[in-house]
Amino acid sequence: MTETTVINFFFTFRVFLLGGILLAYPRISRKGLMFGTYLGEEQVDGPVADKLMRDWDVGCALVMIFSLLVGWGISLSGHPLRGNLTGTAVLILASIGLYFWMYGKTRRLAPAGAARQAMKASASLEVDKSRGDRFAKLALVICLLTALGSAAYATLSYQALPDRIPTLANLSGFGDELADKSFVAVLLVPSFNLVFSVFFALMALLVARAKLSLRGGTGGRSAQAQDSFRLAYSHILSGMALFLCLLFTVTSLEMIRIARGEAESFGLSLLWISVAMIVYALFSLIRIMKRIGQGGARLEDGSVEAPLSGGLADDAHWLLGVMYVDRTDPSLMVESRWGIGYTFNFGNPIAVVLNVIYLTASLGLVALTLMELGLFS
Amino acid sequence: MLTITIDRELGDAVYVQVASQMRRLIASGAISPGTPIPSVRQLSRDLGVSLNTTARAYRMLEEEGFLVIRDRAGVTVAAPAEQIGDSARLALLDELRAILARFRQAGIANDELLRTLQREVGALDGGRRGVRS
Repeated sequence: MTETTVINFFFTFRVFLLGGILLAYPRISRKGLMFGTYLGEEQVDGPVADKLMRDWDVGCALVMIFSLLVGWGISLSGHPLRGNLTGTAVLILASIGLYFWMYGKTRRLAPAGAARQAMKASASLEVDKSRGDRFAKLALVICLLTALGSAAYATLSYQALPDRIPTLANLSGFGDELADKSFVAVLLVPSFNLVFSVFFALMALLVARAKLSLRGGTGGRSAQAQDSFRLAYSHILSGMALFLCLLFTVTSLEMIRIARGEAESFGLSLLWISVAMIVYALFSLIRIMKRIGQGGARLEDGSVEAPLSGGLADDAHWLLGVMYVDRTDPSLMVESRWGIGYTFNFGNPIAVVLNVIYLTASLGLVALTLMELGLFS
Repeated sequence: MLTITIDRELGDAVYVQVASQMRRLIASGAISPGTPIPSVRQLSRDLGVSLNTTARAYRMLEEEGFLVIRDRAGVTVAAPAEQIGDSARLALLDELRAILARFRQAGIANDELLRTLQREVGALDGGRRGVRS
């Protein structure tokens, strides 16, 4: 199997996978919400909502076909990697455009009574005894210690490394890019570990403590459904954090071994860890979408007729249906209106600081990597 | 699972709504003494209200003897007092008189007032029996 075939296969797989997830998104959301807008529990069962869903399905199919045509067209002209990247970029941008188009259509249908509904909010009086954040805490400690440990090991090994060290590997595991030896080059992978795996673990911890958005007067059924979703989603993020930590740690250790001449290539360990991580993420997400639904939507049973309340029903605090900004709400993370998972409350200064730190760190690392590879020179 | 609901459109302040619902749940026995309840931070987050609002409700309930607030152990429901002091009894009596005066001023006749009182006391006892059984 040639590298071109593998790239084309993964591109096609990615288009169908992302397209499938997009098709599923409006079907797993909390009842009353559509395309990032609170339409009300009654209206989402009506003909208007059916028409919106049909438009979405057709739009998704067109986006997938268009991105496949672009990707395969470029690939067949002799540039498979460029075709892969361009096709994926087209898919992402077209999906975002499609969402905003649907958001605009849905927003015009939002009922006037939603603002009144948003004035209500419910909360459970039971203290969480399940200790849902235990796994996330454990993942955070493991990721932090492992990342710091691998950074320390790379620093201690620095003297013994040759003048040129491997930085990138191809699919067969052989290093195909070399960089001059420097502390930046040696500490890049442990830094990625520190930023990305620790970030996932931190997200898992914050999600485990995220705000529950209850339906009023449902006697706690809604709270239980959401608690299940919150726990499951936090576990997925914790698992992803551990996979990323394993991937970066193995990469860092293998790079040092190859540089020292103790190994010829990265072997297939990185490929297998990556495949296992992708399979884990996919199966976990599909499972949670199918069994629990966004915010526990599939477990709410009889309580779905009760109207949503609080921030989730409040169109005034949602920017384009995806960004929640409420300065009076002390919560850090809230349930997303669109897609699966949680989002930050950008009205909370801590959320803004966290995002700025994360963006600066990740963009800085990418810039450093590109500099080390000589792409800026 | 017990829940409380606030409505910002109601005339009562949010902390008053939180306090009155929790008071009712505790007095009826729906939440038994010693039961932990969410911290100020957690309840504020779930209701989407400021920390001060929830803290004010909790302080009020603590002063009235419904809650016990400890820094490390968190917030728990207090057991009903075994004895009540004279000054506390007088303070409660004053509150009752004020409420009765408001009923009278609202034009509610004595018969209806007594029936209402009996029903509410019965509801409190019923809640307790329901929880015990």
